[in-house]
Amino acid sequence: MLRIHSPKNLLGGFLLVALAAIALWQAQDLPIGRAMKMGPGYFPRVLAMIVGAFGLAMMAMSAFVPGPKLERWSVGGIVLVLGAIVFFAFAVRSLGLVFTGAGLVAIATVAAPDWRWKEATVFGVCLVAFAAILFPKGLGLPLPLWPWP
Amino acid sequence: MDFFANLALGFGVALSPVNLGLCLIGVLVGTLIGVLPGIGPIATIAMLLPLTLNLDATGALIMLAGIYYGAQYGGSTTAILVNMPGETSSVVTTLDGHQMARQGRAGTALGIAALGSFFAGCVATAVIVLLGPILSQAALSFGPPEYCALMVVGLVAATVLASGSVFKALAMTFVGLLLGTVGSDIETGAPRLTFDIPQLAEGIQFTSLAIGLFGIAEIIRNIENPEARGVLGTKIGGLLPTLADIKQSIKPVLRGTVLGSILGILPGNGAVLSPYASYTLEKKLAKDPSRFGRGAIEGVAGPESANNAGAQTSFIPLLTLGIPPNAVMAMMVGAMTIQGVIPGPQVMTKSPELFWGMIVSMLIGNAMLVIINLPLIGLWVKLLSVPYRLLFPAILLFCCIGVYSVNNSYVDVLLVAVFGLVGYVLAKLDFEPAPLLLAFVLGPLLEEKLRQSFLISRGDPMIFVTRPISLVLLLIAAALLLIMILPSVRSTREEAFHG
Amino acid sequence: MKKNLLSIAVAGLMALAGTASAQDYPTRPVTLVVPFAAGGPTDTVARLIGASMSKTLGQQVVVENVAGAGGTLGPARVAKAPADGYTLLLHHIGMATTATLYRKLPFNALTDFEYIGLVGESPMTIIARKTLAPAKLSDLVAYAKENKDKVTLANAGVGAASHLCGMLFQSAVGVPLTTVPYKGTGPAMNDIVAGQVDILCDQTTNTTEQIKGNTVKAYAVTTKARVSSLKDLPTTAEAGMPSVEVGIWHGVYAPKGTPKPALDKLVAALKVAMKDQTVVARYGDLGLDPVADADVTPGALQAKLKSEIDKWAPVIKAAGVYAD
Repeated sequence: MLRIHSPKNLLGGFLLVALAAIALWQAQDLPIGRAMKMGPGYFPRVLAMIVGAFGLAMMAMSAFVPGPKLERWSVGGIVLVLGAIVFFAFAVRSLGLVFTGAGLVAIATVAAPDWRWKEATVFGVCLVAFAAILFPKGLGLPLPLWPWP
Repeated sequence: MDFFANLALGFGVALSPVNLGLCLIGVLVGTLIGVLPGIGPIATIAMLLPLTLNLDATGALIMLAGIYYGAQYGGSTTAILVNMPGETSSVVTTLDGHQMARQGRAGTALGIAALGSFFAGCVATAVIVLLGPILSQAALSFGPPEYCALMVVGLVAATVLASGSVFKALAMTFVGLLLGTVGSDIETGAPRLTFDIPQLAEGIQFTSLAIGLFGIAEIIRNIENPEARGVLGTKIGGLLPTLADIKQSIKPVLRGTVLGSILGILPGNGAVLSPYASYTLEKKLAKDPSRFGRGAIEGVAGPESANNAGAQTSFIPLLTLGIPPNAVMAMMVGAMTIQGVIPGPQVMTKSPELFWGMIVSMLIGNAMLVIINLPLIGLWVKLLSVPYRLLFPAILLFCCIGVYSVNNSYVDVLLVAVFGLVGYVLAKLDFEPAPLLLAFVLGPLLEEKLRQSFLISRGDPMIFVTRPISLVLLLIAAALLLIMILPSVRSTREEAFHG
Repeated sequence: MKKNLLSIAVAGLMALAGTASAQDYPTRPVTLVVPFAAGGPTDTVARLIGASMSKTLGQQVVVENVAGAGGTLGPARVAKAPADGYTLLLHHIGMATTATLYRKLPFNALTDFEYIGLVGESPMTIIARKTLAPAKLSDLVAYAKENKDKVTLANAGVGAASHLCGMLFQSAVGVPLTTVPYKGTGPAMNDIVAGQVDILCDQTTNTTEQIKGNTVKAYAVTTKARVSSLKDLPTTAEAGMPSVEVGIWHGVYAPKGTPKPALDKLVAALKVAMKDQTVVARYGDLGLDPVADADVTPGALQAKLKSEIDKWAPVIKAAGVYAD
């Protein structure tokens, strides 16, 4: 079996190939046309193939060229930070800015290893109040403040 | 040429107490909103546009122009402090500006950005006054083939933005181009790579991509290893640039100003290229290019000046031809039409007080920007002493609100999360996101102009070499590519992957 | 700014205080959805009308830009919004053309909405680069037929006003021309002024100043009557091309099932807006004609929508363009 010298580049190459494959799958029904009269599928397909080629090259070379090991990944941080954003995206129209903002701040705060109850609560309340006063009221943005009309 | 009479007219208009006040409010509010993380100039102007509706035309435009530079400067501030680019141009500023901040030199970076921008703004305004009409006519000779060639130059330069492996930078460039193809096809309207999500039909929003790749990824990494948070632990050096800093920055500022002024005049949004071009130039001219990406002051001074000069001269196509060269200028057109001023080739002769008043107010606005911001630098730097555990939820909240309110689209916010994850993975695998982002911006332009060129020439590729400007640009691109590839080929083993 | 903050704050307090019934409508701010980005021509129309309606209704009319997917996301949102009169839609001719341009839409323009009224129509003009030889529209048609391999026709993207007008123009000429698509009117106009492409048909909002500034050649205006801002320009009918008649009309809609009292109040407020001095003046600047009282009615808008869907369906199908 081949020994992998650079796991980082193997994974990187693999992700590029995966991206290329997804793009090619999405573009499969688009007419290609010719170089001189391109169809909608020409650019995406050519680019996807180049990206895929880069990925394959990286995967191949990872077996020969030594490189750094993979580092530790912080799953908790990823889930909480991204979760806070996703929560905002889905909640802002129905729950209003106040509750959505409070929820986002609460979810995100927990992601910090050194968060403290009292401090976070006081700061969070001030922050949401500031945002609520600035955006919908001060700037007249059409953001609902509350879940009820 | 009654140049002085015009200028006097302009000063008369711009120095009236009301207009002076509006300019000040515009600059101030623009800075304060623009400095909120994730809210760049486009979002700021979209948010603040309604505020100007009750004013008279000249006053409204003066205030809007003020909002525009204020937002630009505010955007650079967040780019430097929290690595959060709100628009294309501040991507470059994050590269060395944020590194400077991590080394405790945030004040210096902010100061040099303000001073460089001020200088560039003044020069560019003079260019508008003196040469605007002539230059805009010359810029018209930039047709689709010329743009296409210009984009190729830009793309080749994209790899210079990376400080690591050239191979990986090239890969990222192509990924950026691929992401740029998402959205409706320009000719047939067919949706491409949209996964049947209607919100993607007009492509991926730049802000979602930039904030995710840079800002959110940075937040996750900071939470992951608190020791490496950099900015917060380090002691903060002097708040203002020292004489040595300024000396080091003079030439980059001058070069950036020239580059930005030229690129900004091009009617097809050449201004987006200006900070990238300046960064490339400075890195190539530097005695020790390896300092770039690690907090080189030239990497802030040059691009910031280029950016501001380009932003200023991009008013030229709007004011002299009535054609908006980019999204921000298109919003200006909207503001002008609401005020009953339809931009066109006649604005200058039909409403001279508006034209000259606005131009002079640009000068005044730039001066105000420096006066307001130099003292504010202390405040911004102090913000960094807020514990990170409190700072980052605030950053997240402002990002979400900012991204959401541009199109009132929850999908744009979701994409921030998606690209945040992507950015984190890229960082873990030593891929640099800057070339990706530049390619993402240039790619759609390149494809559009390429296809237009072929339609105009009826499929004849000779159009690119028979037109002199396009030929020269393509030769420059080829030369750049050679310069870039040669050294890296020589040292493939070390440099190609993780140099 | 102060005024804005204050009036919104007051409106918010009133909303919290009063219990809403259809008779009291409106008791809180009304959202007017525009399916395009802030600063565009449709957004401009919405903000002008919104400002006037705010005065009449006694509540802020807040413009919300729900841009994306060729202007189909906005109607989709309004179609699903609660039918209480607090969410309205302002859309242009796209309300009719997307019905054919998109084969699957999440809303039906004919069944998912209540109609409030027409709010103005912007004429289009056929223009060309200044150096193009033909002097009259009839000469242009002959020239296009002779040089069909050489003549280029610019547009601002699929579904844009210039794209629609271009399709009509080509079917009137009888031969397909080389269509050069741009992203937006700005770059298309740029290349017309610069002489890179030949012909463009676009709204007077975008073309009037260029025509007056003599940077482009104008052939005809696409409305029944000449427009006041360009008196010397013949109509397409006068120039011998009556089939190219197209205007970018705008209308205001509400979700299906909005209570009648609310609709009546909105129609009344819209009628006032059409006579508002600021609106009339700005319309003049934009080359838009304010709508006569008789057309600021649900019936007029519904009839217009239906006739326009019928008019464009065959044109779009013949051109074979779909946006999905």
